[in-house]
Amino acid sequence: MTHRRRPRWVFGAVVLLAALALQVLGANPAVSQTAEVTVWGARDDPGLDPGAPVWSQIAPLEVPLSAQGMTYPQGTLSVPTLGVRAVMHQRALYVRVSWQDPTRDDVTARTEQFSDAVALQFPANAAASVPSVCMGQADAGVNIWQWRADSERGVQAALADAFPRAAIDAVPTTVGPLYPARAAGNPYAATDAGPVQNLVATGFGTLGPAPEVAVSGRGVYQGDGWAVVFRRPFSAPGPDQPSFSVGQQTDLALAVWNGSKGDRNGMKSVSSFVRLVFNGASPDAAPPRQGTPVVIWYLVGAPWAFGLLFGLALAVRQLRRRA
Amino acid sequence: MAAGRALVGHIEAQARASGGDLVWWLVRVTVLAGAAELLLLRLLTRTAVHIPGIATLGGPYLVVVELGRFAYYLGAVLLSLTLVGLAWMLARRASPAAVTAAASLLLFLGAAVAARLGLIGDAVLAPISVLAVEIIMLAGATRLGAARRASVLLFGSAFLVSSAYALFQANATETAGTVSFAWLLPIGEFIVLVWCVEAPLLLRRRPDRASMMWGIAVALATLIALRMGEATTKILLLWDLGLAGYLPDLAYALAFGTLAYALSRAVRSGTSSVATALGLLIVGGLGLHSTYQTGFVLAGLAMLSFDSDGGSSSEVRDRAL
Repeated sequence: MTHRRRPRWVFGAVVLLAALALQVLGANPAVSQTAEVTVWGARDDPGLDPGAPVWSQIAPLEVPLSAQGMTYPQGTLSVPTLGVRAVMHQRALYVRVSWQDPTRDDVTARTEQFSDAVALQFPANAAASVPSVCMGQADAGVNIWQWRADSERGVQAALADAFPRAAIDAVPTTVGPLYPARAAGNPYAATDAGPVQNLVATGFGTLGPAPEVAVSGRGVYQGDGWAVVFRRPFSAPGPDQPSFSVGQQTDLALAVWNGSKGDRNGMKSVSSFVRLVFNGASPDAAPPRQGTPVVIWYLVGAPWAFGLLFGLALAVRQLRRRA
Repeated sequence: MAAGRALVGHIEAQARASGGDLVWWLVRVTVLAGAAELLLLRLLTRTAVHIPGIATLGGPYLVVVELGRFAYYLGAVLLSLTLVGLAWMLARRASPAAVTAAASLLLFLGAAVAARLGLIGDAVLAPISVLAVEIIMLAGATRLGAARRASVLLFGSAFLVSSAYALFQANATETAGTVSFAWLLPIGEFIVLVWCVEAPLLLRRRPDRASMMWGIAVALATLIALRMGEATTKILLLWDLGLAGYLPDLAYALAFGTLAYALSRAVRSGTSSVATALGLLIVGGLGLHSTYQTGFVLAGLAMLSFDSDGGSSSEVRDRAL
């Protein structure tokens, strides 16, 4: 081994050992730089009402979604986004999600109808991880809270609207062979559990309902879109579900289904990962409403514009010289 | 005495030369580690979930996941050393642009470490990251030929526009503002696709058939993936590379195909600096995701701006393209 190569091998071995040590210890050297949603502390219980006063005190974080079934130049010229707000009250987390949807899809009486829905995805270990997990890795699960519009509306109401002339002689009241889906534990059929499904995935092909019905929610169609509130206590109701606490940070990803576009299962719009920061302070402590400080424009915009113009000028000068 | 001074000078020169070679070796290994992490961890683990019945391969899959995680930790360690090494090499040069770029690399690295230790928050880290990218972009653009300047400005601009959204949005949230900057995102995405199409101009050599086949294959694969599995493909694009899929499918196919051609051509022709720089920027992705990815972007822009040939960095000359 030459004199020059020996230090390189030693150096490489040290690097490998350092990387191995970080992996064994789970000590992530990087820091997430995604946008963050602050979980403020609410003085009063906001309940499941998307119109509760506390929500108007908090500016939403606009989270952009992947473009499904549309492309920017052909669509409505608006980037699909979700508005996310979060508060805590008496050790319970409330997350309000709102998005624009001109069609109200909460009736799935026919096979060609699909429901509007929204889902929140948390890592089972509530700590910001980089890179963030997705639908569970082999060594880390995720907890998914999914709200469905058709579950919110209710099967009976939906059927009545879809088939107004239908006559019902009698409704069976016993669970069993007359309600096979419910008897089999299909969470979608468990209408008494509310419109939110609490799902757990520890890896591919493992998505299933959590035994605990700990997440509640309510959605309201507001004319041009939906607003949905999720609620769950801080303490983890079961395994593979995160517990929350003040001062903590965790990853959050969101997904939206637009029923009228045929979204269902994996066909959905998803957001990039954001961080949920459990601040706990009152929204009153947030700085007063104001526009983006001018310094931000100068910090980002001016040097970029100057550099672009300078580069173009240099390029033009070089082209002229060659000519 | 004179002999002693000559010996010290010789040793210093050897150290400089071997140091430059070490940094070059470091950068290349960093790209490989980052590419492995991108493929195994970011791409494979997020693709496998959509493959039905793969649960029977749980054991091998676990091995692959652990390898991907090791690649991530290895990439992070190597990247930190790479940034220090690049800063050291740039600082040794006489040009103000290089020294400024070196300072920005160290500034970012220091901010990333401070953020990891909890000493500063995202409110400080994000502007520093954006500023570091700006400085390297501008410093490089003042001294390059047309093709490299365009490449540096295009990718840098795309990154800044995409990052500006997160920067403004975070600021708007903290100040309870209501201005929306979502319209910036498709602009950033468009600029980065233009960067992809411009990549072949970095290479002055005549095209070769093998690279063209690679480019065509990647373009077709992209188009098929977007047409057959739009939802999954766009999720992967967003979470792996920061591209949300706002533009027509053909635009992505064309962009990825030309980028693949340029990368293949650079590797096959021995233009190491271009191949390394492109690899670093691909691993880094678009927008602010983590200090890990931002570090790759900074290293890639530094390579593109200040390293113009495929040899040792100690032999770099300022060649206009």
